[in-house]
Amino acid sequence: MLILRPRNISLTKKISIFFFLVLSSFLIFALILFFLKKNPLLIYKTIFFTPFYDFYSFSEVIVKSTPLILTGFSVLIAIRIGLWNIGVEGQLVLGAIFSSIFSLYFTKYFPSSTHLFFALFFSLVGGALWSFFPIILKLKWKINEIISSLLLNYVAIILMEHLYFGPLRDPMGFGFPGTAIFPQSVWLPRLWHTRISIALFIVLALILLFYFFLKKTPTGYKIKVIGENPKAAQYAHFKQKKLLLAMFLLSGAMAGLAGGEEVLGIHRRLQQGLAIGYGYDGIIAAFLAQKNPLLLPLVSIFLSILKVGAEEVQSVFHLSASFTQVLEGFILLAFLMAKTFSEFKLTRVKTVKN
Amino acid sequence: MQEPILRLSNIGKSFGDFWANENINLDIFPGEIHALLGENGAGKSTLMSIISGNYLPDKGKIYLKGKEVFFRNPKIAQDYGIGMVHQKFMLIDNLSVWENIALGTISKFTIPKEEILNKIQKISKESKLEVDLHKKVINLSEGEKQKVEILKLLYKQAKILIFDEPTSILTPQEIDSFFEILLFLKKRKHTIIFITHKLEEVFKLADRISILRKGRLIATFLPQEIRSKKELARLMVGRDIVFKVDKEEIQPQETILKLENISCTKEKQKKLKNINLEIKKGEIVAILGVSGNGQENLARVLGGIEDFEGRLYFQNQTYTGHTWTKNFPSSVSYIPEDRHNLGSVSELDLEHNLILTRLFQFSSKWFIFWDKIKEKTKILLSNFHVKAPKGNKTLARHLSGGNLQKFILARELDKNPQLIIAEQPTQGLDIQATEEVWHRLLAARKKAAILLITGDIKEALSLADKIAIIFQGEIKKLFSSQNREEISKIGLYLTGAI
Amino acid sequence: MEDFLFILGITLQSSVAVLLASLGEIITEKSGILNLGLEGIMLFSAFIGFICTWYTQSLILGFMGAMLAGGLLACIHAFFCIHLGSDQILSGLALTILGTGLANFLGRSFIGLQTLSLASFSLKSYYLNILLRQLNVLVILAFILTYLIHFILKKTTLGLNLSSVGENPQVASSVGLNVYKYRYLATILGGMLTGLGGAYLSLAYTPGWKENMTGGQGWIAIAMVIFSCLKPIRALVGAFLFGAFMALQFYFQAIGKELIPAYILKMLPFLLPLVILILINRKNSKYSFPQGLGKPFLRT
Repeated sequence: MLILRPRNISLTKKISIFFFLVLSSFLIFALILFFLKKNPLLIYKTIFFTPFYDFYSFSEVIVKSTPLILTGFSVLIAIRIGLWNIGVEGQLVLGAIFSSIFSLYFTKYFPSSTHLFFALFFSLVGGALWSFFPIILKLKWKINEIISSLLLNYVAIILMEHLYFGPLRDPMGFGFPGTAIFPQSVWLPRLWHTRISIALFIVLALILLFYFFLKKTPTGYKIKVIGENPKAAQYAHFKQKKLLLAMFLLSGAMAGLAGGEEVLGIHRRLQQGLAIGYGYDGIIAAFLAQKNPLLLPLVSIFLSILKVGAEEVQSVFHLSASFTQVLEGFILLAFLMAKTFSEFKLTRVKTVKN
Repeated sequence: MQEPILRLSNIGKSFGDFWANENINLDIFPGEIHALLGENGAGKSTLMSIISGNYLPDKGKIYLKGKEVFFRNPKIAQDYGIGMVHQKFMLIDNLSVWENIALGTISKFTIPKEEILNKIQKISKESKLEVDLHKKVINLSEGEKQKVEILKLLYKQAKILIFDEPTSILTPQEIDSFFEILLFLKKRKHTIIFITHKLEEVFKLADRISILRKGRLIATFLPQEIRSKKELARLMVGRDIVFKVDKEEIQPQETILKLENISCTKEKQKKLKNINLEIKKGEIVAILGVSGNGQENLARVLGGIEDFEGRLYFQNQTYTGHTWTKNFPSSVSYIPEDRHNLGSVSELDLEHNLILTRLFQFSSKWFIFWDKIKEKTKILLSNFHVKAPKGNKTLARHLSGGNLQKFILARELDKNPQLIIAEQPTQGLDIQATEEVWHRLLAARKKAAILLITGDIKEALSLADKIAIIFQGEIKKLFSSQNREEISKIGLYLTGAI
Repeated sequence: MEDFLFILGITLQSSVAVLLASLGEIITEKSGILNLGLEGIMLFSAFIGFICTWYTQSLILGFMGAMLAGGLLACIHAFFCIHLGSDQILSGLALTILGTGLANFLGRSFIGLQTLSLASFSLKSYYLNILLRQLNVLVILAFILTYLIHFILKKTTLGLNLSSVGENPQVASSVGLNVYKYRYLATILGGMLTGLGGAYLSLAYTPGWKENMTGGQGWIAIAMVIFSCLKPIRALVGAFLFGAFMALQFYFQAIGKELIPAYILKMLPFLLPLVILILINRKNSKYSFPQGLGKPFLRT
């Protein structure tokens, strides 16, 4: 039978195990492609070369990575205090809805210089609101936050579809499923003639801030302890419930911001194609980054390369773009396997019968 | 002379560099009640786990009725008729009594419930082990659970029954009926080995007595060969105390902590009953007791993790259970028995672990002073001789038990507390580390009051000024550690004999 | 009366996939393994069921293929959780991502296509027919399976051993039960049942292949398992409740009146599990789930 035995190996070895396993998942996927009578080499070449074809292509990688960093950040914030936020997708949607409603109907009550600020602010509120339900269900009725936050994803998406097919639909849109274009005052400014918006820098600043918050402040320290070992936190007499609530709301707010960033920076309206799985990608990003906020941008860029490449592959090879999801699934499994094998080795033990 | 039913020859078992058992030779004869006596950590449980198939020995051989056997797992030992009742019962809480008893023995597809119930009832009637077979285990008292464990062994036709500290968690009434059961089993030609450190029981029941000390078998006696409990106790502890602790005389000063009628109930069981105690600065008071008598709860209560009833006075302030847990004063240091999961965060490094209980000293409202922490950690690691493979950056889980304990001790003592609650501070430590921890505690009492919660008589005698015996959640006796007459009776107090 | 029979028929019909997946998850969780990958397993098997039927023109092979696919994905989860001692939550999520990804990726060129589908009952009687034409053999099979699993868990040695493995693997192992074997068996069996539920969607309930056609039913099944406290009969009740909300949607659509706005009706199946989880008093539920659930047990 097979048994795990502890072992001690160096960091470089651990990292190489991880990359070896990720490479194997690409190989497995290549096999699948091969059986579908597609040329895996050509497809991989397309995935990894397209994003670097010219400056604009690479800028699209950055564009895609911005919401991904945020959703990954959202998952990461929750997981650092020991909570699972699987409802990022729904919180993203709510953030988008809130900021859309503000942009469409309430801008007239505020001076135009504050519009963008409020539009972003309401996306935070929307996301936080949607994360409020799961955490309060957990703290009050001990209902598992994984399942509640996940079910609310579906509710949020149904709500959003209702809104852009119904009350918020653009009356001049000839039936296009989406709202009217927002007023220019809420648009996130774009840079360098690309679709990269200043949101990217807001996001990076937030990540840096959170990193220092965890590292330098007493509250950040408490969060780390609660996340690693709630019993020790009790021993140290930290007040846990308030922090759990606050961090989960913050997590929701970041997801909401991702939604705000998408509608204000990319689409400039609420429309179909907003909920395309950034929330779930966030889970992968957070874990591949080993729960370390500073690694998050790197991991997100890697995943975005796959996504941008996938779009090209989709149009050239007529393959579904969901093959990134397949790759992500494999990569997550590779990560899990690497995690075990960096601490244990699987050995065969002979069983002798008496 | 009879053939031994079980013969251990040269058994040895090590954990890392530590030999829990060494060169043990022991014969067990059919139909006898054999008592295995020894202090905490003498290697009794390890030896029994080897016999019952839970551990494989590193050295030596086991013979059953003259034939060599290998017990790779408990199931094989069971098939040979050897069963063990562990101190921590091996029962499944959520299943009923009869399901627990029959588990692993049913070969039919549907459970022949009536058949099983009849069989169990027959056994339980014969052996006077009456338990409600339909109750869930979780709703049973400890005494009832033990009966279930015995029924489980009898159901599987065990001929050799091993008990690990069978009476430590039973009430006196339960103990009496347990003794009757043992005597009955003996009459039915079962062989019984039981581990204990209660001398009373040994004289009452045992046909032969073996004494283990530091992993070695000292000797096997007949009860009549031993003149008194006192002698037995001396054999158990060893004639000479291995290391002497120089204890400086200190005059006790003002009262730091006073407990008034502290009680604590958990899962409808009263764990502590009206504890009254006073500790002065400069004093070490030892709460001495066999595990399971409430000292774990007392430690958690005083450490501010468990609620309690009654009043607590600390430095001229009155606290209730609620206010004590909520506004736990930072001048109290609690050194918990569970170093790995309670007293430290295993996935964080030592700098992080240093401020677990001392965050207020190393931070302002907004910032943690990592420079100071780094320096302090370095100093403490060297002052307390903590062996940390990566220095400050070592993860807590990479420290050995002894080094982690020294680290926690360093953290708590350096905090300059007014009150130190040290719970089993040297359990599982080697001699050197033990000695070091003791010296540190003795030095610390100059500035603080120390409550030492321990099961180790030697530790209590070496360190404490006063000794309080805790038995079944009550403080039975409080005396000075200079009182020779009382000291000679410690063993009796601990076991509730007087 | 007709309306009632119509609603009842659709309720029964709509509850089957959730019911089958819940039953599978109950078996898996009984053994101490938490499988959050139901949604992925379900969608993937829905596709494999469809594709097998498409190529072989045999519904039996389609359903068998789907169960095999479900079992296979579950087996991956089992290997990670049992042999590697991985985080069961993360492994389950990976399975969800992988399963939905594979299904949508491989199924791209089949979107909107139809193949054989499971025939409904039909009888001469008018009233009975309103009900029966909504039902098929799999609906009946699901109810039989519910009882069967209830029986196995409650009355058989297998059930007892399974729950002891989930409650306390140390004890189970000490009385000679092979914890790994039982956990693998339960996880794979659970995946196969979930796979059957998936195939029910693509081959009977809404015949044909559509992207993301499970629409969260895997997750609803997990919520219903929490509600069920691992009792199959309670899972049946939960699945019926889900089915009833689906039926209401159809009913309002069919009669063309909007008493409750359609989008609210669509949300209800997802809110329902949360509401019932709040409503049932969960003080004693601590003991209805295996104490070893979600914790790795590594052989030494």
